[in-house]
Amino acid sequence: MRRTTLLILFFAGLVGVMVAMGSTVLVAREERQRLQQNLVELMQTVERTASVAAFARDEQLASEVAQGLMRNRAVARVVIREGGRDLVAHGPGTDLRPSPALPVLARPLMSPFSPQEQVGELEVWPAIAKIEQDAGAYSRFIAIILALQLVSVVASVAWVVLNVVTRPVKKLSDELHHLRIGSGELIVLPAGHGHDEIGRLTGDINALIARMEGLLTAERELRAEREESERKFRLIFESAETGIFTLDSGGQLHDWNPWMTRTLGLPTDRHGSACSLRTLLGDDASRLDALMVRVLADQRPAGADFALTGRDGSSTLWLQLVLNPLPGNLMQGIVNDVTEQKQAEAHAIAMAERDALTGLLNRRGIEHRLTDALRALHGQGLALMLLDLDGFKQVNDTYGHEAGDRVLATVARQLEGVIRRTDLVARLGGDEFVVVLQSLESSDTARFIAAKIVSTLSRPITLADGQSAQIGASIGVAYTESRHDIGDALMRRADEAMYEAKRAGKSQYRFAS
Amino acid sequence: MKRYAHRIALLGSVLLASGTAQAGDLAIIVHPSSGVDALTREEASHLFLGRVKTLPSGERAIVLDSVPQRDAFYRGLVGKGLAEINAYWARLRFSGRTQPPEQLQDSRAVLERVANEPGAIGYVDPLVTDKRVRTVLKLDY
Repeated sequence: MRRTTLLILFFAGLVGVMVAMGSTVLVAREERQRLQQNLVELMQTVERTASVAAFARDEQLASEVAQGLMRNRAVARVVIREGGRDLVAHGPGTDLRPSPALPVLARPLMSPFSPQEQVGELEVWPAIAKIEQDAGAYSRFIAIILALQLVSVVASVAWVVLNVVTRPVKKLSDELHHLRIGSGELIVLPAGHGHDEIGRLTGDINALIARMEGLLTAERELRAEREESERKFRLIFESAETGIFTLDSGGQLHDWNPWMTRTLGLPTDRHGSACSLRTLLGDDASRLDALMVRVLADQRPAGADFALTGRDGSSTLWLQLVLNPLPGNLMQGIVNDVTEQKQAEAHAIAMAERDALTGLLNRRGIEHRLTDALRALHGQGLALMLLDLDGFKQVNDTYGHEAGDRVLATVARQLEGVIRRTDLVARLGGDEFVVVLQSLESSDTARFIAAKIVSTLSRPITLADGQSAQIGASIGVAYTESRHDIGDALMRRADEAMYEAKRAGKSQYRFAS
Repeated sequence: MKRYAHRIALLGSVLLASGTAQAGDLAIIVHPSSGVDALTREEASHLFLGRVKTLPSGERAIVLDSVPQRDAFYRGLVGKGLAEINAYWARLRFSGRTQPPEQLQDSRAVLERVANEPGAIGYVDPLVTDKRVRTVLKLDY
């Protein structure tokens, strides 16, 4: 701020010096011209007398005139000539040198009686040194006056600038510099500047500060709001009992929530290690690829279920995966653990294929498995035994339904005890059972097992109240080694063989032809 | 001027009637022994206004004015009135080196001085001249 004032002083001083120098030259020239004009006028004043002196050839009068002229300090030498000779000559004649700026002034002297007749000449030599001295002194005086004026003007301007502009601006600048935005502080209006530009500037700055603080407050509130909503979203993301993740088209996981970490054993640090969903799914990776291709191609969400072998190696984890396309070939996904649903579903299916009383397979269960077993035949034999209890109706009639049920359950246990682990037992309904023997080298094994069943079931069964019931079993066996055989056909053949056994006297088995 | 013209006409008729050959109003006269036969108008003016102080013959000139004819004479000689002539002499008289012509009361007095002094020169009415003087210039206007 002091610099501004110094700059003003410097430039004003510079201009002042230049003006003073220029004015010195100009003033000196003006002064020379003025003095020269004075000399000319002086000569005009004495011209008539000089003419008379020249006309009358009167040296005395000429001398008077010359002396009169010499009294002027600007005159160095006066010569009055008449005809060819000097009538009078005053002043030093040798050491005077006329200068181009101040030439010797000469005036013809005409006869007082005939203006056309020249009778002489008046010559005046300017006192160059004196004139220069006077002109110099005068121009110096002018220069000093100018300089004084300039100094006073510059000083006033500097003072005014300092007090009216520089100081208030510096004060404003200092206040603005130390102002803490957001603290509610405002700039103080410099005294006496209420109605000028400084005052307006102060007002505008304060308005700006107020607006800025308003914006800051709004920004702060907005940020708090955003943080709150972000916190809520993070809470949802992190505490969701669902896996949430993002996935690229290569099956690489980008982000996942803690549920994923907990359930799938993913690393907690999502940025350190790359984590591939394909690797995680193992054998099902190709199904994941197909799902991703479908989602990205259709740009529509799609889902699929995946079975994952649990970390302990035995249990199976069922995951329901839904992928959602995102811009940039990315996908957002949700994973749900559907193991329980899957188990419930499987249980329901199992229950639908079981006989409630005996826990054996029911008709649907055995038909289903028989079809599978036939399809799996590969150079081995399969035997279907249809088994009907003998004397069950009497037990039912004599001892009641509960006893009948107990008999059925006991038969079921006995059948399970006879057959091998790979064989199947089912109760078709009433007192009809089916046994399917698989992986038979020949029909002999079937005969052996059929004989063993007949002998086992011919033993009396102990009832609840200590009584015992005597039943037996008639068995029809259909044997095949062909995978093209149909379950129904086998069943009919076994049925016919079973009736044959009944007709032949019960408690025995018959092979279908 | 009308007045003079009138007088010139009158004088002319008188002169013609008297049989003289003079046609001017004034005659500049010198002593016959001065050695001057004739003067030009310029020579005359230089003598009468102090520029030349000797006669062409070398004799010191004694210049004489005739008061009644002074105005007419200087008007005829240099075309200036008495006021200007007096102012001229006033300047010169201040220096003391150049003296104005001696002033005599009339033509007859001038005639007498010129007739008696060899260096004298003056102007007179042509009618009063006689053999004792020589007319060297006639001023006619």
